[in-house]
Amino acid sequence: MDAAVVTGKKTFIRVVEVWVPGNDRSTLEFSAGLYGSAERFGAISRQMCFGLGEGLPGQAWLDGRPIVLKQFAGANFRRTQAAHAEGLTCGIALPVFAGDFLTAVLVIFCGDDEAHAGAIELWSNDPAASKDMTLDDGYYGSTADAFEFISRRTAFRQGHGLPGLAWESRLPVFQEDLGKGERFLRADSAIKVGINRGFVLPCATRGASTYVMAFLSAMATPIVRRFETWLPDADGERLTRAGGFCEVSGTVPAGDDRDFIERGQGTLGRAAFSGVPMVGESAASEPGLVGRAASAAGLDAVVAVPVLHDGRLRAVVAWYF
Amino acid sequence: MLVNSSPSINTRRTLQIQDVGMVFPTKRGPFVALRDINLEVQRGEFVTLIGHSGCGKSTLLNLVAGLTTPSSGIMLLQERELTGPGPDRGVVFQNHSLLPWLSCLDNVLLAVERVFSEKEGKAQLRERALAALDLVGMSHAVAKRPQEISGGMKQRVGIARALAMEPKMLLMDEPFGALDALTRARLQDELMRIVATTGATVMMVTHDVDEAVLLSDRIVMMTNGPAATIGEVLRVDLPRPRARVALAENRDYVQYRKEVIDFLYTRHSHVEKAA
Repeated sequence: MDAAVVTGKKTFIRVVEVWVPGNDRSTLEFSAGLYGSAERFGAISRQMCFGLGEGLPGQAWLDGRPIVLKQFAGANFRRTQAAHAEGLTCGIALPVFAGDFLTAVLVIFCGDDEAHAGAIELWSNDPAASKDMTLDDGYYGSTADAFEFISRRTAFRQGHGLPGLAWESRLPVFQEDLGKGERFLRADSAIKVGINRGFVLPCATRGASTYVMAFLSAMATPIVRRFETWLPDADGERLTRAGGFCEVSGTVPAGDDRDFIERGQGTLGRAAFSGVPMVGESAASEPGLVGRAASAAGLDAVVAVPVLHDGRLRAVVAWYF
Repeated sequence: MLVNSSPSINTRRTLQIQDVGMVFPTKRGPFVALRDINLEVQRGEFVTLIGHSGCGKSTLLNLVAGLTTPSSGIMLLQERELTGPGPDRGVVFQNHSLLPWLSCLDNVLLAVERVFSEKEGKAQLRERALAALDLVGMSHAVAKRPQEISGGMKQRVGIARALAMEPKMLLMDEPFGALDALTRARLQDELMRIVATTGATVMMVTHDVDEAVLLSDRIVMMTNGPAATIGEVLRVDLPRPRARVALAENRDYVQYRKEVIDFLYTRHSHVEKAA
């Protein structure tokens, strides 16, 4: 087992919620959420809905691109007091578009207490303006500013660095030890601030620009306790595990071809079927490999995020808490 | 609703390199030196190309100079396609390339005459050449021949010759690579002063990390060859004028330097490793 593996630590992501268009598609309604200890925030959120351009989910819907909101007060955010009461200081909204149409908005909340080391970065490329992918915005928690400084001045080309690789492949990209690899181009700065793992998720946005979200995890506060990437077969009927990383058991290998999840089966299968992020509150009771792995590692919940490109399913990412 | 689809002209954009590739025929078949090169350089910008030997940075500079023709892609200088060498690009090589039988003044004059002789008289041309030599601090040696001056001075004359043509772009291929460390430092400082005075747009090839960070607005880092390309671009936001002594202790400078070293020696050490 990797010596760096940790158990039972607080995760960098504290709250996850999913907002979906209502029946008449005029508002976003609460679909699912994982609130952990922020239960009061969850109770308020469950009662809410957002119109186009309203609040963080509505703004992401309107803009057709991810948003990193680092300060709630004075911004287009409707739950400031409740968020502050739970120590949540940053919200990230990831709209999921299937072509021009929104399937859902995934919203993530983080805090910035002393133990909240790590970073979430939004990288983007506008093909009309540049061949480079540059930092759009980022949230660095208590991470030293040296890393942010260099991120803001670095531009990646397609196929280079973790953001560039995700951009090129349109698939999630993961690196277990950023200090050892050649793919992570800001390794020196990352190591200094304790960032050791990187995971980059391509975003399904509207329009020509490409966005990828980089989750950079510090040993003290992993982004999530385990994550996996699952890939659909040629017919899009089955998902098989491509790999991942677990803070409890280390590297997660690719799954056996026979150990698949069918479209519509369990939290991951429903995400693949609907193109909507799904929340499974009891990961251990998920079918197949998901449930077995969660039981073995003592994991509580799972969030499945579909990765779409041009309206087609490219992968499903599973985050375990 | 009608949408105006005419492309806007970016007046600040001096050089555009679009999807450029370079393949050399060899006995063993085609050798892909460069692939997918895309780069824009803005007016007044100082851009350095850095990478290991054989990464194609000089090949790229030669393409921009018009000394070789790309196998694919297009290059535009102020929105006009580059099809060959021209006085709109002043080139300074590591080897000064001065004609040994001409004085410093005549070496510069030769270039000046090529560009301005149709519009200006002899006296004006001479004035231009003298002004360029003055700009690089070589007024005292106008009558000397190349063999009578030091390597650093020769390089100053080379820079004067390139600048005297009032090029749209100054292209420099490791101009200080053959000089000793002290002379190189002095010439780097001189170059910064000249660029500040003239507002020149510069593309420079270098192996030297400190030189790249000191001089550049952007550092273009190239992957190893064959089939080299641009991997990463680092924007250097250090205020100008830059003083080398003060920068040595500047936290940002140290950070930039580390990033370039990390790119060259950790992620793209000379033997290419699979990403």
